[in-house]
Amino acid sequence: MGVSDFARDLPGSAGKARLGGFAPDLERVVQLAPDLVVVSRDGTDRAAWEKLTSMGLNVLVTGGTTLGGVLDDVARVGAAIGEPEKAAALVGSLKGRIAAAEARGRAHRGKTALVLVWPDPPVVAGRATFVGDVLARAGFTNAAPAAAGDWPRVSLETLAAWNPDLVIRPATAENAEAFGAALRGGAFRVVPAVRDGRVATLPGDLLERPGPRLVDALEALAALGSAP
Amino acid sequence: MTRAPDGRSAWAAAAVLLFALFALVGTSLLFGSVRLSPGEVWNALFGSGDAQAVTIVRELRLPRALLGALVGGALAVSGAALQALLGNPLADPYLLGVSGGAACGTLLGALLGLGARGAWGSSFALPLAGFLGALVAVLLVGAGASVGGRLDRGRLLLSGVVVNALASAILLFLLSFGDAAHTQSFVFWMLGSLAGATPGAVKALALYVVLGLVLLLPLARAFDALQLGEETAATLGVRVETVKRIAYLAASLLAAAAVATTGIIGFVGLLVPHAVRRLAPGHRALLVLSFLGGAALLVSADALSRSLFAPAEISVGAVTALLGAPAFLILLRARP
Amino acid sequence: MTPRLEAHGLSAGYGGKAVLEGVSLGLAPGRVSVLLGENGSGKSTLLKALAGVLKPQAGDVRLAGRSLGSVPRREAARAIGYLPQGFEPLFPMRARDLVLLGRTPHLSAFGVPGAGDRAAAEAALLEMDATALADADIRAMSGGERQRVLLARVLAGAPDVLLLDEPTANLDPRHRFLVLDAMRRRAAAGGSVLFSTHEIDVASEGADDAVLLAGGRVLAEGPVGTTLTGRLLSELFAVSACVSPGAGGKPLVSFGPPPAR
Repeated sequence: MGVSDFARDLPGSAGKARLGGFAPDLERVVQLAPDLVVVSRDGTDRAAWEKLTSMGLNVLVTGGTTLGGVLDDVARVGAAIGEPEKAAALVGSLKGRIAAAEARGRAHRGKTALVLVWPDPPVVAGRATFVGDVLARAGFTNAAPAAAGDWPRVSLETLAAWNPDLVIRPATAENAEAFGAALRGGAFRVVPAVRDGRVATLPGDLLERPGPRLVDALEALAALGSAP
Repeated sequence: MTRAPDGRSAWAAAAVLLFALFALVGTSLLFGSVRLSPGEVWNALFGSGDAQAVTIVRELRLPRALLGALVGGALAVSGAALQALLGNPLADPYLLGVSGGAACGTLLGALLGLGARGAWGSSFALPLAGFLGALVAVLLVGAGASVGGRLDRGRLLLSGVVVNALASAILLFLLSFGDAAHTQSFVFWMLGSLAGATPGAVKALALYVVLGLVLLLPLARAFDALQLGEETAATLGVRVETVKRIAYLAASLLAAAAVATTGIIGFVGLLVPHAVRRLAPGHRALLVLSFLGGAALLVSADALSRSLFAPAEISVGAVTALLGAPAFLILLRARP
Repeated sequence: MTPRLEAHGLSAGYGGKAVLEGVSLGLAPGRVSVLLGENGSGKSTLLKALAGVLKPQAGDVRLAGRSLGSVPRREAARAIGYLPQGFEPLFPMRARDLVLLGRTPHLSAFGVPGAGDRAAAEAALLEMDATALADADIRAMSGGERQRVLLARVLAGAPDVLLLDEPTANLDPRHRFLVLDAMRRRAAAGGSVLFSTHEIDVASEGADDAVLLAGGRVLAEGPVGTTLTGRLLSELFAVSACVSPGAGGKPLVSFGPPPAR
């Protein structure tokens, strides 16, 4: 069994063969002779998994763009590995957690928020993405309008015009330096939320990976602003 | 018979372009995602009024407009100088691989720790690293195009294609070599955008642009003489080799400073000199008109890049390429 | 009188290859000389070497007794006017501005042309019957019109020595005479002229002296009366040449097909 670079910090991935990131190492995948290959549609080179399919491997493509879609993906993976009951149980517990988080998130009603996935140039998560779905379920209104698209690249001034009550920053090893430099630059203070320190940092591995950990992200977002 | 440009037409064109440039920069200051009245913009420009408006006008809108003008002007003047030097109306820092070389130099400089993009000191240091990369590219293009010690004008573009391909390969290598944190920043940068404009970057670029122009403008008469061919220019007392060396340095410096600041923005150096040439009786006028025209073009292209898919922005390099590539094809077919 | 521009044992060429070998000749003030030879005999190479465009591989070119390489660039540029063959303009340029470029060696380093320079350019345009073309784009001109503008550029510089590579190419008879008259006037004012041509009547009509170049070497040099002879011209061009005295003592040359072997 092997894992992708994006899954390196998942529990259970230690010691497993690393198969690469967006463009996986196909030879190593084939060498492992897996019964099942699970790929993420947006996180994997399409040509790579089509190649694996054409070679007769059993490839399951996950691609939930909403939390509901992600739950469906969990059920499909469970069916594919012959553990539909376990998957159903997991989906059930996730649904319970989602409902609880949504209830908690109602406290945020009327508040706008923005998930800033990259600082320079600013790139935000749109409403029709899984990140946008999580944001909405946590009770926030996405400050980016639907017309802005999925992952729009915008100007600082546009961020200022959208004027979110809260800026959410997914923190990863990849974006730490870019965020540091951009926020030090000073011009970010045109965004009132940044100027006034209304910035929440969330582990990017929770928020930016369309898997069950999204529910962890949802819980963290829903709990924002309330006492721990 | 076709009349050629004279001095009056050049002055008139310069006045019109200068006015257009002021109008475009003014318009860029007035319009943005945040609605500000002309009065608020005017006050903010001089530092009074609402703090957010001041930041928007003085740190976002003004640097972006000025950076667009400087980068457009630098690329156009670089293209005009390269065209005069190489005797080829299709010469352009982007097409000849000079921009690619500058990008390699800049990226290498950043990876070697000359500073993160956007940091104040690196605004001055990175263009110098880009300049070295651009010079290497110019030398390679020259070596590939020279036949028996002379530049073969037909081979020049082919040579540029090869150097461009080499630069792209090196860029890809450097990007895969660097860590993911750098990669994403540099991919955004390479696409060419004015979004990261800061007052510091404007100051640094202004310094290099002035330096390039101070080196190039006195050579205008020599460029005129070079139109008769290098040999004839030499018999007119022009120090052909000296002129060429200074001009290559200056053209590379201008292109490199632009690339290091805003990434690769193509075709400005091709389009603008071609458009203003019919108005310029000589290279003094051509260089001045190219600067003004390039500045106006890029400020306009940036406005397009912001508004076409607003609120999302696209790369201004994509806009200039959309305008430039068809124009290049037309020019290519129009050649005798 | 000592020649103003002279070559001594001059060898020159391209790359390592010599086109000219051991050429010696002198251009005296007041004389118009014609350079004759077959295609590839080295006429253009000789003109380039004399103009200083091509560095000698061996031997020397001297301007007023000084080696051309040691004469300051601007001084040499003012003394020698050179018209190359073939010029394809790439960019639009007014004829007047092109002619004004001939004044370059007279301007200060980054100078702007003054009234005197403009007057010299206008006079040169007038002399070449090109005043009507002054505002036109050189790219839009016929070959003959452009040739006259290019000649005006050389004349505008008022050099003492004129080195002209096929100055009458593309010209109609009237303008051919115009060019010959211009060369004659420069010589009469104390200048030295060397021009190449393939038109033998232009050579005999316009030149006082002739230099016959064959395979990169001087076959003969001297007044046209002694050089434009049937024997030398037959040898030079490998055709049969018939020379008879014409009006004003100028030789009248007619060529026939090569003698059958």
